[in-house]
Amino acid sequence: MDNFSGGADVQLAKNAKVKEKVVFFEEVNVGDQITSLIKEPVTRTQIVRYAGASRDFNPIHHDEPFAQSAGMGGVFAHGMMSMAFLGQMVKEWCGHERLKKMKVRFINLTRPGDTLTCGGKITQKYQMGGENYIECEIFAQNQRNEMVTQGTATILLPLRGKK
Amino acid sequence: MEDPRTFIGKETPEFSFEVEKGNIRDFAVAIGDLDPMFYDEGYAKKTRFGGIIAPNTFSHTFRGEKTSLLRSIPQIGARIPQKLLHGEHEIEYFKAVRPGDTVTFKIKIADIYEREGKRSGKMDVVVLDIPCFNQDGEEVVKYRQTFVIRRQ
Repeated sequence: MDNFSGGADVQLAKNAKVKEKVVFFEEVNVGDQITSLIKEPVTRTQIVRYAGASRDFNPIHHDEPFAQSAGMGGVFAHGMMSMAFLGQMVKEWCGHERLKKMKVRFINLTRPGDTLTCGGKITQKYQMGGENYIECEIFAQNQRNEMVTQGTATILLPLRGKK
Repeated sequence: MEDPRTFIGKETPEFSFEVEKGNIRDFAVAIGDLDPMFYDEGYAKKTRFGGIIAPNTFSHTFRGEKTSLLRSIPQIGARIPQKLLHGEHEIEYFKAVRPGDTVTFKIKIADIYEREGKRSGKMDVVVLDIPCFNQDGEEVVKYRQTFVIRRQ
């Protein structure tokens, strides 16, 4: 992932995961785990890439002297990068556009070299207005098992045999 | 000194952002998600979406003049960006964001208050609400961003 050649398109095609997963409402229960997602270590290059792609150029994320003088002890990844990882975990588990709401708190910083692991579990299962929802706890932890980002996801699941 | 809380309810003019395929692909690459739904039109066409869609945190790219708005708040503005931290983020989803969409949004100051931090003492909190609409006037996402501004 940490290619700095700009030849991202070749990598994209090579690494494509083509099958979208579907999770049906009838098949899940409170307490079930969301399939976890282990990300590659975050690099300074990735932080710069994220700044460019999101157009969030707060220098605290890429300018080492600035981050030092701001009292942050050096640069760190955008909190939103960890939220994106959580969004990827949910999507890989149950498919695109199932999320109705995702809410997180940024608890600890992600430094270059940190490896985030995302996980979660179902805490509620309910029907409302003819739709089928689950509520999940979601979190991202670093390689020292410190909580980095934590929150909830509200997901609308399809019924089996129904689009 | 002017009370920062008088700025609650203040809203920016409308911003618009034209979503291009390349924006979506670059964002997907940056977060390390190589799902072809985000860049391969041929693949995406055959799915239930009928075309490329954006990753579910792509709305972070709809930025507008957020920094200027925060800088305009009395007593708090002078500490931005060096004392600014992103504390919380919430996204509500209504409709997929697609290439070719023109997303319009205003940034509104929903709340301003003080909080005692465990590690860094008294801090200011600013909450922004950003409802985002597509070119057909449909709300695509609404996001709420909570910023913490340290005093030391």
